[in-house]
Amino acid sequence: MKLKKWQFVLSFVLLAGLLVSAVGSALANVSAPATAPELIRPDNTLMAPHAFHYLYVTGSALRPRDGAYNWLSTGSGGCIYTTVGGLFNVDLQLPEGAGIDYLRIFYYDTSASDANAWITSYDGEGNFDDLVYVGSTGTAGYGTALSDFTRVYVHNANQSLVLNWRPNDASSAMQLCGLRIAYHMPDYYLYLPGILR
Amino acid sequence: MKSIHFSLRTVLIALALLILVPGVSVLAQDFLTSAEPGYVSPEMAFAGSPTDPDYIAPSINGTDRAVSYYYLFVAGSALRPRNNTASWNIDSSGGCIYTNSANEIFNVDLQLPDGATIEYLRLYYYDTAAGDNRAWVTSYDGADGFADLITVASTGTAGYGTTLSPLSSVVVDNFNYSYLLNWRAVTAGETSQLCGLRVFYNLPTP
Repeated sequence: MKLKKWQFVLSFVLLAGLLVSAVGSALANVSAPATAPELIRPDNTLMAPHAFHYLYVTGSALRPRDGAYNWLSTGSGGCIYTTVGGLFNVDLQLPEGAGIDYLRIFYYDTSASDANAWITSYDGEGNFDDLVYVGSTGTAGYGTALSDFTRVYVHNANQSLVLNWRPNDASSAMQLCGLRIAYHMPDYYLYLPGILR
Repeated sequence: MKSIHFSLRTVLIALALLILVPGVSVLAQDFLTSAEPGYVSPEMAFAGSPTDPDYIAPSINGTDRAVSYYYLFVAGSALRPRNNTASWNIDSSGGCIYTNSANEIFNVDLQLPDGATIEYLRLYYYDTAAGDNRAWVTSYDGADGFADLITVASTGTAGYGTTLSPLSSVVVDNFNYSYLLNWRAVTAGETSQLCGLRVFYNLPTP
């Protein structure tokens, strides 16, 4: 078989293209977009009405972020507290594209201080963003508080998410009993038939 | 213009290599072979039996098309003590956990779809101790109220084993309750280990 030089070059280019497309398609599923989509959108104007879903984490499922701090649970095993201090967290997994709307904290608080809970996103390169905050209030004992509405979109290709709690008190007077996220599933565009009747 | 000579066979072989090599390298990431150290055939490792109540076979979902069955399987070493005063250690595989503090409770967060029905909890263990260890699911209401829902315990002293809880019908309610998987070893030391907890649940199909 004889190939002229230009035919050889053309064949090489075509085969190289085939190779690049084959490898490229295999890698496409693990490549993240170069630019991370915006996580927080303050408006709700583009969204259709949606039903809430809930992710509810027991307080005693959190653990200190740093090994220097201790943790203890109450008799029921549901609430957690520390006698040293520190910051507690737990992994947060939600469906891709889901929209987080609220964070609710369930607590026991007879302390003069108030605790904080929030969601943080991490990009894997040392950067983070604190997204939704809520705090305990008062000294009445068991209670619950809801964050302001904050629309946060889940982008699992770009960000990991954790739930955080900081007691701001080192005693059983401040306990975390639960954190509940209200979210909605991704909005999919639905196309109705052109003729409606 | 200069000509370069290739046999048809050479061109075909080069073409085949260019197409096959990337494909093989991608597939190679998905398969482990029995030649690799530590390989355990899935069929040999606690193979599910069609007679087990929590066995999922295509025919189960086929029987009632309005319901689908699923597993949630947590490695033993994913649990942590409820109080930091308890120690914890793992076995050589990294999958089983034990404690040197007897009677301490270990837990891990349990997330299931709202409306799912938990039917069984299966305990995977290593047990050569006289005492048996125990696992269970607990729900919490956020104000210190709780309910222990499903319990299962290890049996015997034969080493690795698995036991299944009685049939339950706990419906998951994520608005009102959070859920935990718990484990307690009544015996300290590596003679009583937790190797896994598997929840068998069903979900109505939309």
